[in-house]
Amino acid sequence: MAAVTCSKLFAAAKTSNIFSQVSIRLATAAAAVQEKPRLKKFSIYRWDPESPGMKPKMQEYEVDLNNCGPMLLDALVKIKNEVDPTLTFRKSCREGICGSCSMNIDGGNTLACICKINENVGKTTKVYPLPHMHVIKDLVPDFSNFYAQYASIQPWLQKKDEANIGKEAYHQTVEDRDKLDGLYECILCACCSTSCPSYWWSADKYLGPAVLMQAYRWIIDSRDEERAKRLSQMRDKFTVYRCHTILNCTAACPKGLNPAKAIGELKLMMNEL
Amino acid sequence: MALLMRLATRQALLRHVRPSSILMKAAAPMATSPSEQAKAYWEKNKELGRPVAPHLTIYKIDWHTLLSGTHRLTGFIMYTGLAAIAAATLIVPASYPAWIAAIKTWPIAIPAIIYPAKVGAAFTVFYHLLNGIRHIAWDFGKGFAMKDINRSGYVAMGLALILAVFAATIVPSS
Repeated sequence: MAAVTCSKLFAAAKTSNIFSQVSIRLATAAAAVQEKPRLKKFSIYRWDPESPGMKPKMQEYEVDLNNCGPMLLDALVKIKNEVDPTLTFRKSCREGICGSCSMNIDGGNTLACICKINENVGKTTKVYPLPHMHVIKDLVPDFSNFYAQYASIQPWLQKKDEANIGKEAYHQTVEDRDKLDGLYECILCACCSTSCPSYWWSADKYLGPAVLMQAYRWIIDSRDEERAKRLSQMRDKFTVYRCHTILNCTAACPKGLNPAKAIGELKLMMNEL
Repeated sequence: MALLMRLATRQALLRHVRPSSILMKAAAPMATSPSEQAKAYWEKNKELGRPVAPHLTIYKIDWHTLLSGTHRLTGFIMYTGLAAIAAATLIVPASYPAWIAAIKTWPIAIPAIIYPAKVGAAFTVFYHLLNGIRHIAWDFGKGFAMKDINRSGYVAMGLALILAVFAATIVPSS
């Protein structure tokens, strides 16, 4: 019965011009997908701590984009799963909220999971670890200094009188709360800090855009009472003033935040002292 | 009782066993303050011979990066250029106007040397001045939106080029 109806429908479709055109188009599209693999080259930075005397090198991998997800992280996972299990990188949430897969892709810092693969198969996509960071292995950099810098700005609410802590909620006006938007969303992926030439040359003394934006976030928090102390901690030539407004940070931020503006505001506040 | 004995002996024996797993050896020494942690970071990475990821050679040069670089370069040229010319006038024989007059006698001096030098010098001054205005705005916390950054950059660069070409055509009346 079903076969009969099917053949009847097919016959009806054959008589109609539109139906036949559609079916031909679908057939050719399907054939094209099967016939033509879109092989894209990825050139990836490799360094293995367990190979003594090894120099960092670039290794090329080919991925068929027809069988790969749309994002760069998809390509990396595919390479690791199917081609080279030794390829090492960090990943977790795959949706731009954890900040694990920050790396340098085609010259710019961003998160691999929310970076679309450039579908121009004629062009090799280059992948490096975050610039001027010490490399633990392949695309995995050492964040210890970055985290220590973050700790140094004491990223928590501070009150002059510690005796009353925890007794009642600290209220904030809607306007004061609004000031924290565009600051608290930072996921500390370090894309901005490691895009900054000033940070490359002085990561030991200059805090870098990500940490400075968090310093600013606590300084302008209406509930925090250590504004003067926080600002006076930054009174030297390097901590804030190594920022030369190159603006790579704002251009790089995968969350669309504006560290350069936060540093600009910080410099303005430093005049208070 | 057996349980008590077992716990007691285990405590006593294990006290002398030093942690020797590879993980413990690789762990950074405990640091208490952020500055100590940072110090441990530099020492550890040096000790392990970790490479520094490539930076200047691989980072893309965007419009705003180019403008920033040009600002520093023009500042450097003005500073060293002025000092070099001033020093040269002390050392080199004959006066500055005499040198200009001498260069002008060369066959293609005017289009190939004098004019480009004038445009270059004028651009250096105008660009540094105009981009300086952008820096003043940033120092007041204004103009940090990516769109504004690029737009003000076009204005500074465009205006500097136009003014430089215009200024180079001015011939002072003697």
